Amino acid sequence: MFLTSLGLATAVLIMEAMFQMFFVTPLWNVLPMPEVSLYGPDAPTGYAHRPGTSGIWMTENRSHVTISAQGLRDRDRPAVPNGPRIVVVGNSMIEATQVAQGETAVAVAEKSLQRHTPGIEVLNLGLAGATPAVEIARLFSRGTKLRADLALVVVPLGDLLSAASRDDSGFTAYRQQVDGSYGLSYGFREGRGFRFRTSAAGDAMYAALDHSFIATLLNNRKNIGFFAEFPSRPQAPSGDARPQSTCQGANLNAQARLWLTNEPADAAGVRDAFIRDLAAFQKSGTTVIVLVQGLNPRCELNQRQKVMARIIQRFAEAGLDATDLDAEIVRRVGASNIYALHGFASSLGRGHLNVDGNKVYGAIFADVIRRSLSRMGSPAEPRT
Amino acid sequence: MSYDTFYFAAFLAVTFCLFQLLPWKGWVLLVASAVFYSVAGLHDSLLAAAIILANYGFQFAVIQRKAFLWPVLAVNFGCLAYFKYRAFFAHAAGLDLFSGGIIIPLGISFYIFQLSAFVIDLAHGKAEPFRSLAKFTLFKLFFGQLVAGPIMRWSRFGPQIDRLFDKGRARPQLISLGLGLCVLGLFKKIILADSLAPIVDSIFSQGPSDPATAWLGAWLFGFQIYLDFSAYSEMALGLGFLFGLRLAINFRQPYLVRNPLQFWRHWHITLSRWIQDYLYIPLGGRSGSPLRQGAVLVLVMSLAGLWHGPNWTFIAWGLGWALLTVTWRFGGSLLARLGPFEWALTLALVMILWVFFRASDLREAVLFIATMFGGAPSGDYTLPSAYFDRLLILTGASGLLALHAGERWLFSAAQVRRMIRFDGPFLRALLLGLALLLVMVPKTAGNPFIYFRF
Repeated sequence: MFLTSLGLATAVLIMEAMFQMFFVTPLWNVLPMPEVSLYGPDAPTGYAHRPGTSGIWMTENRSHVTISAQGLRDRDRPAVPNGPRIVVVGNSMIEATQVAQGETAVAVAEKSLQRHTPGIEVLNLGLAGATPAVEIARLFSRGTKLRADLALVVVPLGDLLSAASRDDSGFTAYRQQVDGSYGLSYGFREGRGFRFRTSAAGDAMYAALDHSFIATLLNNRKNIGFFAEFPSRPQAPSGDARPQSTCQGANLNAQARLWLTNEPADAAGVRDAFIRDLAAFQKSGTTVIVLVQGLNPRCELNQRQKVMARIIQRFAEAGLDATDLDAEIVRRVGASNIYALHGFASSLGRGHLNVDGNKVYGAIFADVIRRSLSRMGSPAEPRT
Repeated sequence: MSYDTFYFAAFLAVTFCLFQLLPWKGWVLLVASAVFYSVAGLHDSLLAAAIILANYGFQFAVIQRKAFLWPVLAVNFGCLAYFKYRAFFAHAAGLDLFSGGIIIPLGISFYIFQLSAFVIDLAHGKAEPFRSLAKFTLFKLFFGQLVAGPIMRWSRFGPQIDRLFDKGRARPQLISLGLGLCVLGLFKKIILADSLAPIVDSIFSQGPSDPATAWLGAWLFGFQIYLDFSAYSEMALGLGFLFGLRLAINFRQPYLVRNPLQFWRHWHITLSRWIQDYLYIPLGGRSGSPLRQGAVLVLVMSLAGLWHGPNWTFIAWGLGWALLTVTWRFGGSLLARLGPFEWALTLALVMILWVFFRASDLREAVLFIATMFGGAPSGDYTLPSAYFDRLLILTGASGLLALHAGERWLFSAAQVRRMIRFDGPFLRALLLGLALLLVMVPKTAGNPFIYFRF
């Protein structure tokens, strides 16, 4: 029994040493690595980045990801900014773990703006899987502390319709309150998973994940399933940004129903609550610019224009500026080239933004920020 | 089931436990092999069952009358031709048939060759028939070598199967050696081969923009296919040792050979022996005029290429090998004067030929090779321009050859004896732990063993 245990322990040590060697050499660029566990429990949102975490991201493309002391997919920032500070909120498209930190759209925008406004900061509040409710919770919990002058909020319109926006079992969501209105709900806090992850055992687990590649390997495996490779029915590929041979009208029709006729009622409730909460956040002193995306810019242009006009009007009624992000992208690269902004190597056209895609988004963010700051007046004085 | 998965490890654990506990060793392996193959699907399983039954029945006819050899070979190769090559042959004949995709039944190229070798040996008195259908089925279906070889001959494998059923155990199980080979195979496949795959895919799909990139692509593919296939073969060997079976070695560091004539005695050894014994020698081998010898080589190597897949690129690859073999057969003594450069030349030529193996069609292959020699770019994939990055790439590429040379030490008789001598709970647990951790390593998307496709 002792020899068997010693043998198994030696195996663990050998594999640990192997991954450590890969990590500290350029071999991490080529050889397999356990993917870093970036996320931990967060009371306002359900989950968030764990401050100080660092490791290799393996999905879609390899990159070395570091989470700042503020718990953002960003570099460390001073508590009090020296110049204008902008935060960008969004989901995994903004988080952009598949590219290096300096190549994210947010970093590209910051670099561009710093040429003319040294000291300006653009912070990445992107979080994978962030629904509108999570974005709001993140703005209130982190955006307020960061004392931002401006917040860009990227909203995939499809999220307003998805059931995930109303399911609080894993993260915060909009649920119908007693009075019929929709508000943020935190049912995840009662879940076993959240309670474990915020306990001492959870702390020990995260400490193991931070210091041991084998712990991360086993955790990753547990997450995808030990029998994940067992032959099963082929899944439809997700996130295909390649040019479609036919327009899929279902998405536009669903958005038209939501924005023009307020159907279905639960999605309309989520939408209204989201707009309400954004306006409330703006009242706290940070100007909010909403960047909406998700209406295919190649299809049914008249119908699309009508729906987009109503979307922008609806935000304007709440005192919020809204911009059609898809139209900006088309203006810059052309509709037929949008696919080239996504994916890597043989997966070009699928998945998240590649380096070029982040450059385009970054340029758009920079322009939006410039226009907004000039409308707001000269850049804010350095804070004391 | 792929060997580099956790569910295969679970299957293997259950099979091993039952093998240890139950007295009916042969039946345990037979049932396990049937379960293993059934994961491939109903069509594949029914086809395999039909071919097994046909060959089982025919073997008795063959030993009565040798003339029955031809019908059974016609059945075997007819099935192979239909299930693997029908679209290719139809297209070559200008017919637009079978235009939908073909899914090649799992392992068909390997088990047809193994069965055919058996009936040919039977006809020539070099094998004995299997009276028991169970034994015959395990001879053909043993999960350790079913999918991608090694192609086992009756003389080596048949008596082992007999002993397994009759005496309840074949030879001693070499647990640590078996596990060690599995760990080596898993490391070569999961850590090395699968890491090269995305780079090779990118270079070939986008096309190289300059000679350095083209040579790197060929080099990396050459090592990807070696690591992938030899990994499988070593795991097959290891699985055999776990159950007291001795399978044939399929690879002996082929990139260290001096000339192309030696290559096929070190690469996919069981296939090259099959081709030598059942095609090359019956067609005349080394006898006759140089022209006749060359013609036989061209035919045999073209068929060897075609065996790998229904594409003209594989035939071109085989033809390339025929040319190399003829050149060294008749000019070898002159080329030997190159000394160590003969090895370098051989390696370069082997890598050039791999381009045909990897390219999706002849045009892509020719353009790729042209780029290798300074021709126009065949695409836009380019290596990083920074000096340090290029140095790293060169170091990595050289490192692959160094690891290859290091394998010779690992497979030395001294190391094998050491593994057997130190077999015990510590070593077994160590190797088992390594194997389990390796199968949990994240896989780059969709990289089955390359030779599973054949």
